Amino acid sequence: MNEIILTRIKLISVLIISNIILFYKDAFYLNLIFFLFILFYVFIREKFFEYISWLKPLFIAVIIIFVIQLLTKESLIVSALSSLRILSLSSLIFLLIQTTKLSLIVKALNFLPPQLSFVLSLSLGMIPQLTKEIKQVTIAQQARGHKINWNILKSYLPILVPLFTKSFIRSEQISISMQARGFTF
Amino acid sequence: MSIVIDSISFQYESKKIILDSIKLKIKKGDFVAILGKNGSGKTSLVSCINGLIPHAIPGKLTGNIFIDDKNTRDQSIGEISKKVGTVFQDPDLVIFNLTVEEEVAFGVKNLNLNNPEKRVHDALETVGLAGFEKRDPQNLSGGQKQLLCIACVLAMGTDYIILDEPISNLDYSNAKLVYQILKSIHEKGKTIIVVEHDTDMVWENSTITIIIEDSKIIMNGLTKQVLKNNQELISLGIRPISKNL
Repeated sequence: MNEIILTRIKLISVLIISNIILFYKDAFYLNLIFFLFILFYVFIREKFFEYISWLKPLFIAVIIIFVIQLLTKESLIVSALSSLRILSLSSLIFLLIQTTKLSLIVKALNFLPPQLSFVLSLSLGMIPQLTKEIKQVTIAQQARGHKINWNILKSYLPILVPLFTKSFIRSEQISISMQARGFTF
Repeated sequence: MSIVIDSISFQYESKKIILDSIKLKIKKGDFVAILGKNGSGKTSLVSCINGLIPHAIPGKLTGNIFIDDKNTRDQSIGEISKKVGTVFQDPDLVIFNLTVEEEVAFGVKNLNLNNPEKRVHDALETVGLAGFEKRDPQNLSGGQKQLLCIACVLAMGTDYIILDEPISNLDYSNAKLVYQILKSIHEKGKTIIVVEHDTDMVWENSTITIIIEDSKIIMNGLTKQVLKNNQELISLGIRPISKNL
């Protein structure tokens, strides 16, 4: 089958599954099965370390949500479901990125209005660049003795500010270079 | 007191070999330049010295690196940064504070060093940014940002300073200014290790030059000896010295 059509089917499936994960009530076992299915994929493809580093930034959010839900006297299963929803959703995106080339996703979206498809392709194209920059900034700040600790704001400010600055500069450069090549809305 | 690199090899998780059986000794007080084509392994070599390999950059490292007789494997990046300071190619990757003085003080506070105000003041004075203390770093020019990054490392008082292509984004006058400052720091007894493509600056300023090709050190010696043959440099993909053309 044509690769682009296959990617479109994949994108629609991701949309449907993510809706089920988010909005289907009492979906604990459904989420659990889905989560275990992705863990199985990660295991057989030996992508364990990549998967862990993908989920790492979410762990704190997952724990906080779980604790808050429990404190607000929700049942254990409801609290676990909220946390599981986040893990399942992010695992779904991980699965999509691992199995689909970014260029194919961009091509699969070309049925959208040109401006919208352009914005989407630009945003998707930024992901690998941004991932690379997060690593570079983290390394650069570590070399200045910076450590990540319990103080989240203090820990992540030296990483987030350069990241945003670079992103704004790049967006401006892209916008100028697009206009210089005759792109208008 | 020196940096000893004892037969190290490094490969990324993709199995690509980046450094192959590197043996090197950098004595305290040297001004070392590392030259080579893009992708030859220059940045990876300095990443071994400042501990980013193996602590932050994943891959397989064999062999050992000793900074003043201490193995980098046994120290964290934070501990190594007390001895080895690093100036990165792109200042925008590092700068995040609202004022110049806060930016310079960041490393000093992280390492709990004494006399932070004096360190910040002295560092800014050395790089010619005295009077800029309250300015927003984002509003500085490219050259000034790079000087600010050098000040950040100077304030940390490290014995060894690594600079990864510090003048690649700068015009000639700013590049010359950066090297003048590096030379003055070197004369005060600091060891400078610079990854560079500008061979003219290397010729004028460094004492030792190392050339890396295909993950191996192929030349290591006095700068005036290593860089004397322009034809050889061209064949290695390195820019020839204008003076010798």
